[in-house]
Amino acid sequence: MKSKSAFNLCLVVLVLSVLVVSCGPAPTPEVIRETVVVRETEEVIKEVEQEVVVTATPEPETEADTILIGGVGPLSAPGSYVSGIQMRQAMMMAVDEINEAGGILGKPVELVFGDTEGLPERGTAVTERLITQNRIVGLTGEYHSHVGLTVMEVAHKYGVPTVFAEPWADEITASGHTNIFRIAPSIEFYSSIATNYMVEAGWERIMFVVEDTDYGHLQAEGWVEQLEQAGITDVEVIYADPGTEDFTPILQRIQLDPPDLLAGVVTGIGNARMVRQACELGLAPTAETAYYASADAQYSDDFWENVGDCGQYVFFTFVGLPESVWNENTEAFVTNFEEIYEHTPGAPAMEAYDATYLLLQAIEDAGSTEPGAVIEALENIRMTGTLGEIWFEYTSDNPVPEDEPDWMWHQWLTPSVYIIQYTEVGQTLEEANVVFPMERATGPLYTSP
Amino acid sequence: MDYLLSISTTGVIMGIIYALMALGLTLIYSILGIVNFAHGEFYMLGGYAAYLGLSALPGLHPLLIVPLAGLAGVLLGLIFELLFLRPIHQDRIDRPAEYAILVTFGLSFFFINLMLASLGPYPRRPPSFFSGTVDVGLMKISGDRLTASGFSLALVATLLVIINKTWIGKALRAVSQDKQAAAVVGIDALTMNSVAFAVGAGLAAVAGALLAPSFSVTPDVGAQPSIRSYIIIVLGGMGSIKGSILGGLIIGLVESLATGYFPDPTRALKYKTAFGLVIFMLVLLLRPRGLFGRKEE
Repeated sequence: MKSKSAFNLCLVVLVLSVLVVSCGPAPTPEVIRETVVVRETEEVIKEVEQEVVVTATPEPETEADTILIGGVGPLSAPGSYVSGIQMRQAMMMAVDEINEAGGILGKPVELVFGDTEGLPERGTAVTERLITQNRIVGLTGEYHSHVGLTVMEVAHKYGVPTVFAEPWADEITASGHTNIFRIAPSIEFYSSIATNYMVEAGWERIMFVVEDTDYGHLQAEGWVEQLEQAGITDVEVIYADPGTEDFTPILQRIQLDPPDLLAGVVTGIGNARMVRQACELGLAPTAETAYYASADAQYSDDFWENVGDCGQYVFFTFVGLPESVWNENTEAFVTNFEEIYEHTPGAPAMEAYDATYLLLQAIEDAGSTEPGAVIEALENIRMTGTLGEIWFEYTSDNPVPEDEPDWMWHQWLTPSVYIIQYTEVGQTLEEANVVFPMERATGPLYTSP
Repeated sequence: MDYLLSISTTGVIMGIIYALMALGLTLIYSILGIVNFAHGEFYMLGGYAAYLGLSALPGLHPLLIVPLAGLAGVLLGLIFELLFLRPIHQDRIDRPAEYAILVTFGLSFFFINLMLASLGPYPRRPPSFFSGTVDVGLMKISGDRLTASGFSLALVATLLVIINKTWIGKALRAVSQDKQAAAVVGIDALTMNSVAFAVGAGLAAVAGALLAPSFSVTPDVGAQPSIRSYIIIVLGGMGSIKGSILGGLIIGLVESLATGYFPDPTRALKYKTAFGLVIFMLVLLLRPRGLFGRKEE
């Protein structure tokens, strides 16, 4: 009886959680206000005073023997931990390389990494801890936009220089915070590449199956708006949980009236599942229906292992440099990463690596870890990373013009975003065709089955 | 009509596999009186066992690895039961219900992080049982999925025969009904506990190995199947084997049909799990002990 009661309690909690998650809207950052009831006794007042000392803005450790920087990203579910783990590995690689070269300001650098789990509240807690307890002098990383937004607010509260590596939400840089910088593309820019490609390819009926997260929502909203502006209005968006095992019922429904393009924008394991299931049903990719996969298709070894022959003719958006336009930093990074971690680095790894270098280069340029000096150095930085030459166009000295979108503030404006298509089974990312933008294409605009 | 048939077939195929997974959980609950919160992780380990086994033995037909993965699940389950669950039934634990929840949750976290640390976060997929698709009317069904449901069906049938017709099956049923009475007729309840937990874990591992070619495997892949199994066993009636089978089929069919016919297609897939939960709650409202649950004495 006792065990049954305990189980029933757990089950009720579980069921309610699943229902809330299933039926609720996409997670959005929330402001949490705490009300503390304090009795006016001498003893309690002492406790409150102690707490104020603990949560106050930390004094910068000017005499520290080590330059301590913070990294954040998802290392566990429900976050996209495949990307988070690669980001941490790339950051560690950057720090190791810098230490081998003598460190920064003559001191060794140490990275303290916090697992945000893909949860905004964890992002807040982890960033608070890194800043107030670890006393980091700069922050970098993060993958998920909805986590990035909460991390951003904490970093802004304490004025810690922060270079975001991967979150795409326009609001990150549109916040206008002086300490916030980003090298990942904004969602508006990122979506526009795929939109322009779809328009160029001439698809008129488009069906998106997107994951019910910030990643899926932001892209879908961007695409629908941009496609409408381009005159393509027959667009439908279907939402799915990222962990969906079986897409077959909805794919069978779509198959009743197949679109010109089916886009499966689901990260992680869901990407491969949907590619396989659409292919096994004979829905896409076919001569009638093209298939657009999520950016996870860039991990070519894993992609082919999980989709088999179904991956042929699939295309996807890739943030980073295809091999045809690699610079020597990209070459060295990819070689070293593969040697150390025995895995091909994805775009998040490259972005995290460059963001770490950028932050540390700024500290070196500033000659100090004082936040104001580091922010000024970041505003004036120009560095060639694995993704190309990085700089921030709109800064304190050159504010965003009124006719440009706000997200351009402290934003690297020219990140490399390409459309890649696998035309043969088992192709590596480097062997696959770059199909868009057309001026950089290494193959035809679209190869049909 | 063809569409209805296609959608229903998809639901039945998945329902059979859900039933296999839930059956293991039911067996454990009905004999040991505990809920195994690491059930999904035995499913995950079954998938990894199939992947690793076929990587080590590339010449082996993928279907032959399924029994081996099940055996690995049985062994792991047996070791865990002997080390961590047996003390409950020897009255060596003060708060057995809470202990059982904590220890199985602990095992779940341990297995997830063990696989994350040893094999990394990347999805792995063993080779297909049979590549290609089979045409059923206007519908194409993947060879892997058809094989998985056929194997599951055969296994469920075998298990039913064992439980209903063999001595060990009768002994298991006796322990599930009344431990003391079973002891009077010479059945060792502790041994039956071990058998039930090992077989339950083995069934989850077989389900994992069967679905790995279709769904791939990652360290956290067990979360959804285990949640679904909890729903199925409560829907079918806690401890009821036929309830688990019917519950699995109902959930499989409801998820598929509701996704296929929900008026708003943009939300149909998103609500897939919720459709099953609605049926689950309706059944519990009308029949709180589930479809085939025993009345509490």
